[in-house]
Amino acid sequence: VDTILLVVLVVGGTALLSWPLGRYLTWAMDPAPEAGPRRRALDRLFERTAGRPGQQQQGWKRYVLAMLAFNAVMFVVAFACMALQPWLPLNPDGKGAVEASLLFHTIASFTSNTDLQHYSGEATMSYMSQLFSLMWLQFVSAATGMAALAALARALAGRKDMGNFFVDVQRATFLVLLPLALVVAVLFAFGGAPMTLAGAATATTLEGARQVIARGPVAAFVAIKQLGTDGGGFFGPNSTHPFENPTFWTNGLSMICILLIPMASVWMFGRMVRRIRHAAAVFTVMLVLLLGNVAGAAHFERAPTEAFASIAPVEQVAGNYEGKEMRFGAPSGSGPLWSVLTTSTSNGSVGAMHDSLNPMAGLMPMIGMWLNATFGGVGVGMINMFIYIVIAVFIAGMMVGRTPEYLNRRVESREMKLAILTVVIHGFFILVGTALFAATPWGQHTVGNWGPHGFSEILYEFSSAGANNGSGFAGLGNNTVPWNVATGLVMLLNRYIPIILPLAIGGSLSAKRTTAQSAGTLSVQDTTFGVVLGATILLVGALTFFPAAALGPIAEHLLFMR
Amino acid sequence: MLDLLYLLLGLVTFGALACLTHAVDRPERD
Repeated sequence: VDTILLVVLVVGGTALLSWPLGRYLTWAMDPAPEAGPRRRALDRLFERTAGRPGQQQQGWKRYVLAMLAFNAVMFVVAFACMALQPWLPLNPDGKGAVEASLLFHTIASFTSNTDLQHYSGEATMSYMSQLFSLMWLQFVSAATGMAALAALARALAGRKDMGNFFVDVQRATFLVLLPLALVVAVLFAFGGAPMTLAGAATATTLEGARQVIARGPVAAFVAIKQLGTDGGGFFGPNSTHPFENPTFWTNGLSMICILLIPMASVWMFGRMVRRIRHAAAVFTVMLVLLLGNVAGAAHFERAPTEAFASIAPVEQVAGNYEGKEMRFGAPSGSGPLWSVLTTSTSNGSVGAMHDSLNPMAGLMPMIGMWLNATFGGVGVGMINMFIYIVIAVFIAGMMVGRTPEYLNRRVESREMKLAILTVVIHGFFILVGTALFAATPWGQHTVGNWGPHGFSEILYEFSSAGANNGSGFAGLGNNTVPWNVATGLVMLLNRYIPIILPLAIGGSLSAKRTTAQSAGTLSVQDTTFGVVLGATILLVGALTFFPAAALGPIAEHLLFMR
Repeated sequence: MLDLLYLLLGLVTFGALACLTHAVDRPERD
């Protein structure tokens, strides 16, 4: 009952909050022509700030090239800032240079909104690197995702131009992410998260030992990490650390923030394409899949862990206690719920040890990353869902023998090729990477467990990188040159290709003539559409990833079956 | 020095993505 109540409060409460926020996102990202003078003045300011490139409307290709150029500059600036950290200020604890491959991996990770971490922040990063490399990237990478969704929505609304990337990224940063992050950071600070630029504190324990306690500007970092579906922790243990997530209440607040903007993005999309009932259908499909995943994780986590099976005095009456923070409640409650929310939304912060989840409960976060559209990342979750919608309307159209249409435009060969390519690339990088590392010492020598669980560790790592998630299964010694280079490249490629190709589809669709709706047109806002879309997502996901799941978590589950 | 090589690797990746964008924009041949 506790678990159900927690799910209803967190998921249901966030769904309610997402409606007004969706309205605000639309106001911020796509102001109506009749918007008031203050709103228009803000846009003029953003255009002036962007200089000449901010003055012109962009087609899909120019929009994408602007996004890539901006992100490449972000990459270089953040890279330089972190590379020079021993010589830059805000380094009270004297942090040294970051190893080159780890540096590449970390900057690729935060630029791509993944925030997969092969380091512990408290041991590796100066405050300068945490704030001006990592936290800055957490804002602008999330803003990039929101800008891309706004551009796609404009194309699908039939506009010839997709807007201007440089203006959109400022709208997302200054009108959405900064104000929200300020409010949430204050709440976290009141909840007990430190917010200081002073160096580590030194304490003397009762035994007389000297203990160094790392701290820093944590509240600000955690706020955007959760809101921007970034997920990178200030400390190595992420949100299991008592400074990042001090209480039951900050735990609830974190989970709400993880879901909030991804949910609101769906409503923003619906408002921008002027099909709010279509958005409601998509939102429902996402919600049903998410709740199914949560139910699976909570169910499988009610069983005790096999790790304690041979330890007689350990009683696990309420489920799997391993790797859980008991201050957040029952082991089958917050831990599995957070693990699914953080992976379904491409957030990647962790509130429990994912490596310690029971095998089938550990499969659920992987499913969230494989589908990557059950709300998904800020902006990009809805873009991923758009690809599934294109495939679903194509399949439905073929079944009834009509040319498929989406929002009154025909989906034809070019759009389908690009949609299939997007889906294939997502699976390709995850599965080929897993196979390569499972077959070579690059992966074999780094796993923390043998057999199916070791395979799951490798599979999870590539799934996390490929889905731009950033959570870790842990148990893996992944700060090596092969891991840093391979997952660094996967994160960059799997971040931008699934933005480039959908925007190309959007550009292609917007250039077509609209077709009149007829009795044979597939409705995209009723139950039939919802069922077809849900089935398409599950089928594509199962066909791509089931064999890998069978080798990892499912095989491990069967090994322990009594 | 090694840092610069990794920086170059990142920039080459962004360059490859820009090339992909150009390739996708090319009209299809029947």
